Amino acid sequence: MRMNLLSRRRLLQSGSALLAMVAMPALPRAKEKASGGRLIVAADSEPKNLNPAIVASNGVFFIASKVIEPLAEAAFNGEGGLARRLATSWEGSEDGLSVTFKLREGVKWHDGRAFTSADVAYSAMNVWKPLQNLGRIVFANLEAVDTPDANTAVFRFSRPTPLQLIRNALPVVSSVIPKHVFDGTDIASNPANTKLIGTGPFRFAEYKPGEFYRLTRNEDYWGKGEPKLDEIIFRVLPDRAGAASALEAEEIHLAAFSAVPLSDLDRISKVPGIEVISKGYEALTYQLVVEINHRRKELADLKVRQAIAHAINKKFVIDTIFLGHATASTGPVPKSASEFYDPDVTTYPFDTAKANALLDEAGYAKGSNGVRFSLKLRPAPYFNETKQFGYYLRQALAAIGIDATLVNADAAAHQKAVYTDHDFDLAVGPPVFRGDPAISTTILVQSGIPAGVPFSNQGGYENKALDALVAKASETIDAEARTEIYRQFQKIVTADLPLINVAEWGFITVARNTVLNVADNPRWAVSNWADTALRS
Amino acid sequence: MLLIVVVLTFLLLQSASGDAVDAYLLSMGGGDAAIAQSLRQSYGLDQSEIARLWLYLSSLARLDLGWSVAFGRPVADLILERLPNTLLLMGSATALAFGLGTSLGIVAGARPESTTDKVVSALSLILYAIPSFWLGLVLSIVFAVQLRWLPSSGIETIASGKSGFARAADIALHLILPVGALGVIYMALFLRVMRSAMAEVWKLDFVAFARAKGLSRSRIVLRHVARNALLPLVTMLGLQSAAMLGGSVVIESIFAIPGFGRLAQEAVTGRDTPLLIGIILTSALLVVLVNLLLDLVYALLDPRVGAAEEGA
Repeated sequence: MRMNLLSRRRLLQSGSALLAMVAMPALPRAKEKASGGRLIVAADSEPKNLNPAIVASNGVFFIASKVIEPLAEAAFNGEGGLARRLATSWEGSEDGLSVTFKLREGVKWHDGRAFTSADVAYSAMNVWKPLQNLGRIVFANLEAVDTPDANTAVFRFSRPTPLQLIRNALPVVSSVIPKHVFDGTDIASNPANTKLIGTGPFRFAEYKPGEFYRLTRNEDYWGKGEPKLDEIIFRVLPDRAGAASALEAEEIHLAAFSAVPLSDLDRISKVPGIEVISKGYEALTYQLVVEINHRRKELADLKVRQAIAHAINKKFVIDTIFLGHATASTGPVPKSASEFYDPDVTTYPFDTAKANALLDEAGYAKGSNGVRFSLKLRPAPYFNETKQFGYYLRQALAAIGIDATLVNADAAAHQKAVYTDHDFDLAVGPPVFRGDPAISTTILVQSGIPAGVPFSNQGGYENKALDALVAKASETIDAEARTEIYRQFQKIVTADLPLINVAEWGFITVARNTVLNVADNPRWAVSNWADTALRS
Repeated sequence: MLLIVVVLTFLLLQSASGDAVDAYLLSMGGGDAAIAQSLRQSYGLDQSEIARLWLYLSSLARLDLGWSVAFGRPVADLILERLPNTLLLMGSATALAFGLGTSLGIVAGARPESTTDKVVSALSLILYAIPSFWLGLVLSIVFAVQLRWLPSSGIETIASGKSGFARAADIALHLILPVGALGVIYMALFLRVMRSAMAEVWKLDFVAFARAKGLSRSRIVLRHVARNALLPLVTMLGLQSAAMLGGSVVIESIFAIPGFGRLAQEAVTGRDTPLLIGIILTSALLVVLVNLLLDLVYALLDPRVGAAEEGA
């Protein structure tokens, strides 16, 4: 049978009709003026689980911290660097076995139920301690949470637990979720993990996968006159150039977490109406670290590690790779953590001659081809800067006769190779300092951590004195004594070099100048934004 | 055939280092060994590869595409959600590429070796050499950032509350730049094929006959030369539909369009085996479908194809 349903002419016609639709003239665009108080923000990831009580990560907090609140948030000028949120006071007992929280009164969940100490007890015992990535460390010794009345929660520990640690961890680990929504369900698969219900200044309104998250004003918020905005939209923009274009085209107001690449900052800072802000990440310091596999004979030798440290020109790294948006590190605790930071440690100034001498001393003479030995170097792919530092380190090592082979892999493959299979000699990693060394810093050098734990000591390093120090700090109640222990910790790490700290950086926010109160706390991007406003 | 696609994809993904739990832990910013263990158990990643492949195939036999690890949702939902956007993007881009490419090809091929032909051919060569991501970025900077005529990204205005025709117009407006970026490059390809096919047809006897009959030049060009030159173009269309699915990965990322290409990229980085197989399976089906459709069109364009069937 001959097909004659479609004539050739019709085929061509329909083609040109489609074409006409595509080439339709531009319609006048609706002005997205700030009249309604809608803040539009670039988001680069869509976390599967948006519940900050379970996943305490910056990607989750960025969106969820506006809906679900912690007991306390970080502050530039607060007592102990904290601002009260759901808790109004906290006090530790002399023996370090309990911490008593007084909770804010008159707070309501977004579904209208009252917030009480039962919610805090449930979150702590059923979520933070057993399920949360960081809570498992901080609340390891939490035994029970007593609720003598609706506004008091008493955390009881099986072993002395420093209040200093709990306090420093509060902004990260203490997101409170509603007991009445989660109790008796499978917490991991509860729908409220994506459609959040909290006490925060904004309600979770809508999520269109691949497009946006929409949060709306919580009329019943406990903060007087807050929130200032009617709506926050997190617009998913996976391409980094896309965030900069959208800012310039005034389609979005703000891009946080260096969504605008460092190399674009100079140009975009000259665009009228756009501001580049480097404040607001003081409590979210990322560290550029050379991870070392101590199973490798050469790297087990301290002299070799010292030589590598001397071979790195930190100033060059900061000026060329970070374009000035970073600080040189002296040790495992960043300068921004002033409570713990100790500048009086062993330092390794850039000195190629000394590095070469150290390697000669260690017995690794240069071969006829100028090479002492070869290494496998794996830079983490998570940031442009970690990859670029990988290229730099290869050159720096070549200058002292170490031939490094770069192995680039995508995130999942890098993770498995370094933290599970230990298939590396040197790796470049970006661990995070989270306000207290015990949360995610000591784990980088402690021994006895099973394989498969990302961002931990997987280099086979073992130092009994260091382990003992870490153990002692975990039971030292007195804040001053505990701080002193961490000063010791920094001295040992810099002297023995289980890893090499190169630089530390916060992120950059780029915003239209109509956005008010940006970066007014040290974890601003991942805080509540109750006072963020738009100038009309 | 589709079974081979499924098994190959599965094995290929297994050979990539790291699994879905590695990717997930990374997005969490770390986690201990116990969390990793319980996650692997809940996703069945602790079982052997053969067991998992068998499990997947048996659920596929029940037309169940499985559960996405990276998104925590059924794969079928994700695919149905993203497919329309990609089809719209690809359909429009193909229409643009085919329509404009054919028209310009006819213009160029009407007088081979003329100045018009040389200019159009040179232009097509330049366009063909441009990478689509570069063109996408440049179009976005010029028309969205500098001139502000068009939106820089997205598939429609966010939470606009528009519906019906207003919404369709809004989507069309958002599609102009991505369709332009994707379509113009493939247009160059169609143009070149059309032009050279026409140049071939000009040499054939029936064209000389048409001339001898005293037909007007435009009639010869359109009815005789172009019509016959269209045949290889239709074949190309089938081949290019597969290539364009690949090209949409880049364009969808640049213009933040929640489509198939971006989903595929996220599935690979998240080591989301069920999702990626679902995507590849759907794409394979799509390409088969397009080619089937084109075979029918072929019969329309070339009477000989249908005639052979009749004779049989």
